[in-house]
Amino acid sequence: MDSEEVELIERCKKGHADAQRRLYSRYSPLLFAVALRYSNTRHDAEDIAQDAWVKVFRYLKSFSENNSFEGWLRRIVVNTAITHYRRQKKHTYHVDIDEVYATPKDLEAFKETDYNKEEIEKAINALPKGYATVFKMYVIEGFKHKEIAETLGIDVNTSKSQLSRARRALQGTLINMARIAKKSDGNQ
Amino acid sequence: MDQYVKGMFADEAIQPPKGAENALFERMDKIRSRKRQARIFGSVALVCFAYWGSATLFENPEVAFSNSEQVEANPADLSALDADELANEMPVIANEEPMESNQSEAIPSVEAPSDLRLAAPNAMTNAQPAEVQQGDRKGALEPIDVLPASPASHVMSDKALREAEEERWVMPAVVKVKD
Repeated sequence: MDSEEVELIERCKKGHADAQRRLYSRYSPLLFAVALRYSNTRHDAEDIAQDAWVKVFRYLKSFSENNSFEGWLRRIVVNTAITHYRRQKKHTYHVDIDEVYATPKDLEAFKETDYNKEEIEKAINALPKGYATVFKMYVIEGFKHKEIAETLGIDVNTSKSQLSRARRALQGTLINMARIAKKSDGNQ
Repeated sequence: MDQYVKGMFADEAIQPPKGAENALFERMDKIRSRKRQARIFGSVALVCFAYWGSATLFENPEVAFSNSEQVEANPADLSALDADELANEMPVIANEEPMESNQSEAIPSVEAPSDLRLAAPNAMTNAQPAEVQQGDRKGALEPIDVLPASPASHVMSDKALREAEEERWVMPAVVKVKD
């Protein structure tokens, strides 16, 4: 963290409204993007982001400057999103997967670089909710398995196995998507 | 694959809708004002409780005396004592000033020795011990180590009450005479 950011956080801790607005304008795009990744709709993402910001300002005093502020924000948003969905009970975290379409041969030929961001995002969102959540938390947000387990209320081994299955499912989904795209190109 | 996916989402930023900022800070203001109100309400409640507590204590001092270890109010002992003798020998303890003035008229005055101290409970610390002029009877107090003040004061105050025709609270107490 640079000294300007440290000073900004310190002023926010003291309750200065102008500092809080500056912090908001600096980090709201990141925070909203994370919220959007863990929500089904944009409206849900707005609610999650607002709740997360209230928590940020409320618990800012407990934040230590030795840690990454961005990482701290990400954790708050993800926790808020999970709490939000637990309340709504829209998904569970123990889903058996049957959606691995790719054969071992397909997996050998798989190259992630063949896919752009939109395709990967689409493939992640196509995963069962539990797998997608563990995958996003581990791979994108950088959570550890222990943190994922604590946040989701599951065992550490469950987190590991879900991540492993999520990877395989994601590869399968991407291959399947590519296959469908090829077919549609051939038909044209 | 993990690194590739992570790299894709590394600098992700999506601008929130325009009204989101104002909505957030309005909510924050509401939370702040609610906290302020709760703090004020808590302070008022505390003051009211303290006032009520002190008022209850002064209106009903028997409650305070019942907890005091210094009070020796044994009814058996009280009944055994000659009330009239004690009335003449003991100083009067009352919890209110007007009481003292009534007593000074009704009771033959006794001047307490300078080293005489009243061991009164905490609730009685504000009450002034009755100043009576002893005169000739000063010598009668000297050999007594501990004098149960409560029976005397009780009897005396009854007299005073009868004369004054108004209700008074009388506190039992122990009088210790130091050498």
